[in-house]
Amino acid sequence: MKNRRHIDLLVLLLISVVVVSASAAIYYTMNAQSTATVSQAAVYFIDGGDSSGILTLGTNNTYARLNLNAYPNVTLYYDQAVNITANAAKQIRLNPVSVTPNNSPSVANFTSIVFRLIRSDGSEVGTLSYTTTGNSWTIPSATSYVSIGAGEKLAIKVEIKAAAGAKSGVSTTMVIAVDVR
Amino acid sequence: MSGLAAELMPEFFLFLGVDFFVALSLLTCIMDYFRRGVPYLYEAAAIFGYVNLLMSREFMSAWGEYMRFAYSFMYLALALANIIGINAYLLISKNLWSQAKVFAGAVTFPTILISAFFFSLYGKDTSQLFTAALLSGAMVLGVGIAFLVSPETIKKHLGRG
Repeated sequence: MKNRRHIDLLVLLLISVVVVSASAAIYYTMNAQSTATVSQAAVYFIDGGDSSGILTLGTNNTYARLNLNAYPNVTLYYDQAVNITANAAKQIRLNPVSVTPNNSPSVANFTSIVFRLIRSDGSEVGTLSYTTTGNSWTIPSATSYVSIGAGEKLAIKVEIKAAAGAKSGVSTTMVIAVDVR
Repeated sequence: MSGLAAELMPEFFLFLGVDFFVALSLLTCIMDYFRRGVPYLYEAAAIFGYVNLLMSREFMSAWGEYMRFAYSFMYLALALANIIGINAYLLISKNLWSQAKVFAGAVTFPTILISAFFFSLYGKDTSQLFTAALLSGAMVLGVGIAFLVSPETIKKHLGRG
């Protein structure tokens, strides 16, 4: 009877060691393997009130291209050049990536280009102000992160001004990233 | 703390359940109050948990995280219910107060504490997880006690026997 109990214990102990080790190994491999699942971007661009004719949205609305006009010695406002929305609560910021051309005589044709991030109640939550000094653009630093709720729309307002006596046909390209966290 | 929580997968509860069943199997084997088949039954339950873990790995991408959490937690709740059931069996059916107290202090309470600790680390949507935990815990506890305690014992302890 006693021997039978000892044999039982030994058998159970051996099975236990195997089961626990195998379970630990499987859990480890599950933890080690990484999966990448494609899903809709949490933050994306949508048309704004002034987007007609100036906005081109990329596939999945994760890219927006604005073709804006500038007039000499006149500030032109696009109150809602493009809107940003989210399907989950996130934080976003505007982050300057590049300006071309820069350090070029054509830059002097512009005075300033300002991008403002505006909430639906009209409050401004971030600003990127590009200004020119001679032939160079002064590139601003990224805005602070601001919260955006699910379904909330934030407008990007653009104020653009060309220098007095600016030549027509001169253009500049600015790339701005919308960082999401 | 949040870094550790992010690394914890729902299958951790399965793994914890497997460990508890294995411990139960060995404990019921060394205690004299159980039939010979009981430890093997718990060992089979541990193997079932291992198979569950295996299945979970294979169908990881197909099953959502909530479903994975649900069945993993159910399995852990089943293991905990059996531990509590064994404790109740020693206390009520066998009238072994001192052994039941030792079992409660050495096994039941630590296992519940360990489970609660890891659950608190994993918990993301607290209300949802607590609802699932309470429901499954209450259900499995009820089933476990019903299986282990005979109606005669209940009647006797209620003073009707």
